[in-house]
Amino acid sequence: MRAHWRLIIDGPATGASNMAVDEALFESVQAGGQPVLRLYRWQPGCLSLGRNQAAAGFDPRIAAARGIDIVRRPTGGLAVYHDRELTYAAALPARLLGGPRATYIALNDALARGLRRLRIDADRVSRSDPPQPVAAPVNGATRAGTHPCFEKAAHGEIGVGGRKLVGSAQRCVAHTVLQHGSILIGGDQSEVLQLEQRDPVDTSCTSLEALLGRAPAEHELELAIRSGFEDELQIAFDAGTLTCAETARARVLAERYRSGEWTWRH
Amino acid sequence: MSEIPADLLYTEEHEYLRAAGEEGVYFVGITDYAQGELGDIVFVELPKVGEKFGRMDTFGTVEAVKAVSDLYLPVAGEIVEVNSGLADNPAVVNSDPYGEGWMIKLRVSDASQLEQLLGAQEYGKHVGT
Repeated sequence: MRAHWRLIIDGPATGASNMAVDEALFESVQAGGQPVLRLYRWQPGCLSLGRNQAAAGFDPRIAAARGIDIVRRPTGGLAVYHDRELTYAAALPARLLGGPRATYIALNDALARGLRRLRIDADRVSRSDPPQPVAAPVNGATRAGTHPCFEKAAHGEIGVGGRKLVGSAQRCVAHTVLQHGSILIGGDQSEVLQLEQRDPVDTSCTSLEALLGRAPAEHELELAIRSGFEDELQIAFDAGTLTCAETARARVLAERYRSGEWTWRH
Repeated sequence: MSEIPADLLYTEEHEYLRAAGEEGVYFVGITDYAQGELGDIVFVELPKVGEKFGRMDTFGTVEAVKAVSDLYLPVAGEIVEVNSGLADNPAVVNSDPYGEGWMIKLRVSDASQLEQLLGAQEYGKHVGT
């Protein structure tokens, strides 16, 4: 008999709201709730920073002038620009799929399986390069490490032909994992470099639009990802929405994600 | 196989305590098993000297290629020193978790809590070695 996960499909929301909902669901699972997969989008476009990423290289005035939000994620990793994408967030007990690292691999395999339903030849990228540090030392002091998440693929991430298609990040608290990530529908993440005022480089990522010659319809992509999870993880989904308690909790958490104290903490 | 030095104390959350040479003061870090499970560590978030925490309070986080995990204090105490070298070289937690990869130095406030920690053999059973 298949284990049942919750499935929540949300429409577009702000960066702060999206991070708050992810964290509210994460807390529910920490408290013993069912594992959950949430699929959602962003409005307006938003730059998200990793939990420990130095933010000094990003100018909020440039972002504001372009109508782009900035939010700091609860999870690790580096900067991502969220616009033309489907975002997934999964919260589950760490032991369910064999620990945090095994969970990272298993969820990426589920995503790849889903993308293959769209005839995308998605697979895990393997890398032997050393990982880049979150903060790079300069002259003995710690300086901002502001590279885009999609500039390089980490080992185990999902790509096509070595180019990253899905970027994911994780947080583990109380034996529970929150993993969320961006499935790029269009764009090339160059906005991250523009917001950092860096020269354009090949961001080494790809998108569904680039691979298929079209952007898949919302429902088509959601169904593919859902099926990928069901088939790879041998689970069944109970579709639903946030509980009243989760909605109320997310409202409180969104205040923190909007605060300058959190966003510019590093 | 993970290294589990016989003279340290351990928790089920994969932290260790190593005596720092002064009564009631211990180095705290994560075990060789933990660093292997986490993978390449890219950032360690540490508390400030002088901060006090209760047993199993989160005292920091460790980030390993996009996965951030909480660090739990094995016993209640006050932070007397943090390993500032980890800011420039977090990877030393992978290469030398029990030596240069120590994270904080803790002055224990309730020595009786040490009795609740695991010895090397018990910890070895916990991680299946």
